[in-house]
Order: sequence, then C-alpha cells, then structure tokens
Amino acid sequence: MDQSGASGAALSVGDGLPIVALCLSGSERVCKLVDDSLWALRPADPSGRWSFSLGELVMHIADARWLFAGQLDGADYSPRYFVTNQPRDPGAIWTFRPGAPEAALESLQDGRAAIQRWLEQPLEKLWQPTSGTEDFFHSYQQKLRAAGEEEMAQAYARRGPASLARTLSGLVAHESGHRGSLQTLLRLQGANTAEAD
Amino acid sequence: MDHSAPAAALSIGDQLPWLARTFRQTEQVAALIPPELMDWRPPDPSGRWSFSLAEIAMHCADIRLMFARQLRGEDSSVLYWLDSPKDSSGIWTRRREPAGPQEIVASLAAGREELEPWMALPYEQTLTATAGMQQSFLQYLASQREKGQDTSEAERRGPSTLNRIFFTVACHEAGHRGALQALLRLHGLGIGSE
Repeated sequence: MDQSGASGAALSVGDGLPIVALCLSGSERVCKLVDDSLWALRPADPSGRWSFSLGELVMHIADARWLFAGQLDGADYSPRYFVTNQPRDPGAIWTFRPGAPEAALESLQDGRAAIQRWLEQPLEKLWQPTSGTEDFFHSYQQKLRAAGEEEMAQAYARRGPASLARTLSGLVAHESGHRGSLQTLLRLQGANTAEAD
Repeated sequence: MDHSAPAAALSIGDQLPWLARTFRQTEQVAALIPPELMDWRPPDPSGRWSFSLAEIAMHCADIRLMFARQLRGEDSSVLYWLDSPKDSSGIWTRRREPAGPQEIVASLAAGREELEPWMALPYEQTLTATAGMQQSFLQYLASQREKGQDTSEAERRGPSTLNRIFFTVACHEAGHRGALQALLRLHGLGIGSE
C-alpha cells in the first residue's frame, strides 16, 4: 500500500472526507422541497404500519444532526429536538412537537454548524475520540454493567470510545438513508428533485 | 478534546460499524423484493426515468464491486448488472437479467465480501491510498489537465484514501437503500423501526 497522500498542505477532516459536506448539502436541498403543502403528507403503508410524514422526516434528520453533534461535544442538545417520543418497536408511533418547514430548516442549518466545527479539525484527529464521546462511553458502560450486561459491556469496551470518524460515519449513513426515502417520496409527488441528485 | 488513543488492534470495520450495518440493511431490504415487483418502476409525474426495485439493488451491488476493484487497482465491469446512461435520457440499461431476487441479494453479498479484506485492515491505514487509488488519481489528474482544468484543489487533497472510499460507499448505498425502503413500504413491506 502506498503511503503517499496529498501535496503536503494541512488537510482538515472536511478536506479528507468531502462526502460529508456533500451529504449534508444534498439533504438540505431535498428538505427544502418539503413545503407547507407536502409537510403533513404521510405515505400509506398497506400493512397498516405507521410511517414518518414528509415533515417528520425533515425534523428527524435535523434531530439526528443534534444527536451526533451532542455526542461529539459532550453536550445535551435534546432541547433542540422536535421528537418527543421515539419508541423502538417497529411500527410504533413517534411523536413530535409541532414543526413547520421554516423551523425545521433552521434547526437543520444550526445542527450543521455544530458539526462543521468538527469538520474543521485537522485530519489527524479523525481517529481520536472526543471528550464528549469518552464521557458517553464511560457512562454507557456503567449503565450496561448496572443492568447486568457484562458481556455487552466487554464487547463495547473492546471498541473503545467513538472516534470522530465513527461518529461522522454514523451521521452520514443515517442521514443518507432518510434523505433517500424523502427524495423518493417527493419524486412520487412530482417534486423536482433533479437538482438535489 | 481528549487525545487518548482507542484500544489497540482495531480494524477499519471495528471503527466504522455503520459500514457493515449499512451493508446488512441493504441486503435485508433487497431480500424483501417480491419476484412479482422486481420490475416495478415508481411512476414519476415529471416523466423522469427511475430505477425499478430490482435495479436499485443491482446498482448497489455494482457499486460495491466498483469500489472493491478501485481499491485493488482493477478496471473491470465484469459481473456488473447495469450500464450507466449513454445519453441525457438518464436511462440505465441491463447487461444481464437476474433469475430472481435471491440472485441479486447474493451479488450484494459477493460485493461485500470483496470489500471485507479492506475493512479488516488496521484502522490506522485509512488515511493511506492504495496503489490502485494512486493510479486512478494520476489518471484523473492527466485527464483534467488535458481538458485544461485546474487541478490544484485535487492535488491539495491528494488521492482517495480508504477512509474516503468507505464513507462514500456508505453514503451512496444508504441513499439508495432508503429509496428502496420507502418504495417497498408503499407495498406494505418493511423491516425494523423508522
């Protein structure tokens, strides 16, 4: 394997991973297409299972940015969340505080700004945990042990606290999945998603 | 920021668990495609062409192979399902027909297996470029220069690293999987929670 890299100029995390900014910008372009007329549209699943409305998809993408930023910063950004209850059971109904396109887009942008600080870090820091992910790691391990989940705690310990890379990969994989769903549902409604491709 | 190093002997796959999770989810969702819906193509009121359900999964399988081959420095489209559009119609064409959904799921697994040796490397190697990526980078620079394009930004970033490739694979595939998932839900088929 060749170890040579770039021209030698200092690279940031964002330089090293240009796909992250592309992913975030792509989501924003798609989310902007969810206007008032489409906000409450909820695709019907013939099995009767509940699904996100288009507006809830936008709010969920925004919430997840805060969740990942909070893990990196070691901060509780839950007051920014739109979601008020997110049950784990498949098909269970999630609840959200009232949202609207403008507020959701603002949250999306603010969440991006919180992530942006990490993208501006030197690329060498990509595989290091942050003090936020260190704290999360220790408290989660304590929770597992308190719940008698020793095996799971050991497996979790082996991997160690999440690095910046691990957290960013979670952010973009999660967001890309929901953006793909949203973009598809918008196309079915005749929205022009071509520029967001 | 705490600069303490993560535990020793971790692989790229250990450090990027979302990658394996993305692959697994795509395979689970693709396995839900019923034979009678493989060729169902969602109607787009604007008239734009869309992938059929099967073609979404086929495209994901092709891209896994494409990236694995880029990492190895190979330029081959053998076993690809689809050819990209040759004109502005945006229509992808099939190179071969699947016997059924299971054959597509198997091809997704085969693509994942080609990527797995790279995911098993120590994570410290993610900031390096393989010989294959170096070669692609030099070819790209030459083609851009031929067109009179400025290559300074590309040169500043350097060739793709394992890191960049894996993030791109995960983002690309998760997007298509999300599309497939949304379309299958319209037919009452789904996995997991939202």
